[in-house]
Amino acid sequence: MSGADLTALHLSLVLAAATVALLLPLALLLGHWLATTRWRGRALAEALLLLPLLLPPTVVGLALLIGMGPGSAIGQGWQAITGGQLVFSFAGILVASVLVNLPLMVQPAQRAFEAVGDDLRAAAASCGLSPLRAFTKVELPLAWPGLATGAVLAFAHTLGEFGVVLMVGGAIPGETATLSLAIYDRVQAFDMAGAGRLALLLLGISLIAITLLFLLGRKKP
Amino acid sequence: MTGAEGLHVSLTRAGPLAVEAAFTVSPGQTLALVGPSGAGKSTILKAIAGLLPTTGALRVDRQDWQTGPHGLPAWQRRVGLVLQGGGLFPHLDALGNVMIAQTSPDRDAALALLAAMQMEGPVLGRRPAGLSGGEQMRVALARALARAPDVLLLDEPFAAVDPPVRRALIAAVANVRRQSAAPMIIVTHDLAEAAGIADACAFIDAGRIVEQGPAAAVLADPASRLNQWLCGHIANMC
Repeated sequence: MSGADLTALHLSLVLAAATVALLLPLALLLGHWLATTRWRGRALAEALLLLPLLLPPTVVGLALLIGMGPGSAIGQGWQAITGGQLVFSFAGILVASVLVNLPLMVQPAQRAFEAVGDDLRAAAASCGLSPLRAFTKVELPLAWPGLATGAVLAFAHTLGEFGVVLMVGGAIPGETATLSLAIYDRVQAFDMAGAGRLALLLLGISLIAITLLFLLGRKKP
Repeated sequence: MTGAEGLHVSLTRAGPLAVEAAFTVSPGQTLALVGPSGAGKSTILKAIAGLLPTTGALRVDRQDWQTGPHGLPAWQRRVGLVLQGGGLFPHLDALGNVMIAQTSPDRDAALALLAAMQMEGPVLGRRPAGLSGGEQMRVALARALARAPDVLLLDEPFAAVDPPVRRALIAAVANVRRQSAAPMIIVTHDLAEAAGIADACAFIDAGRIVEQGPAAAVLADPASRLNQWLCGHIANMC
């Protein structure tokens, strides 16, 4: 592996880890809210949440490119604070990655919190547990396999993300050129052996992640 | 702490159900709520526990539980609640399920409560999935006592167990009665059990208490059609 490949691998791993770290509290809050709310607009909220998963990555990427670009309020706000652009930067692909992976982490979290059930919430309240203590002592321990499942899925998905990262980040070496983009570049340069090696590497990491997911699924809380 | 007044209930709505339920349960007294499925027995129990939005009056000793727009939050009501099936936390062992309800963790006190329910030894280290239905209910009864509750609420504690286990659980409930002087309400389908456990009995139909009084008198002299139906039901079983 070349230095550029290692840089791409490092960038992919950092991006995946940062995505999961940012998504974890979001998934906890949104998943729990969706599982327990009686709000009438819940179905609409769930549909909106699933959109990034169902739309073509190029469409999501284009929307983010415009929404976070230098002409947008978000892009200008970012530039005022940091002095740089949000698009074509690591921060830009991180924001894009978080949005794209949101449903992958929130959905399992929501299902896990739904599985806790009203009876156990009632039991927790009648045991004198405040809502916060009921969450940490009862709901979180019971729901964590679902949260872990979402985290592994989001991690693996981020490693393989291509379209959105390319649209929002370009393929700037050391900044936004992830491993999946490096594979694409190798193929463009007719370096099929190099592309194959990187693809195998990505396959290995994803396989480990998915195996971990199944192991977590079997383990009882 | 349980004072001299006991539990006063006068509800007009419990969750989605319009109810007409007014009764008093004195300290040390056990009231059986009896009625057909869907009559609103469990709904009234959950309303008392603060688990449903409720209108009406609810007072325990000198404390008003219906204060404010939503009433006292469920977790602030000193209630010992036993749900149908126990409602034990599946990630905690039997001892952990009791200790989680204690105001301050006291292992010895939790062990004593479990021992009073004939739960001792290695079984205390098992999670609910490793316990029988009767054992789960015993743990749930011990847990209900762990907070030193002002009110004890038992929702069909014998519904899911076989007759021999049921007899043992009735003895366990009698033991609960000895452990705590808190007013107790027990929801049951079974009038024979109600007669064996309760001092008072209230029949509920469609959210409305149609008859109530001392258990022996009410069961011996059925006045309402519902009461007659229920007593006929018992006679058929005997």
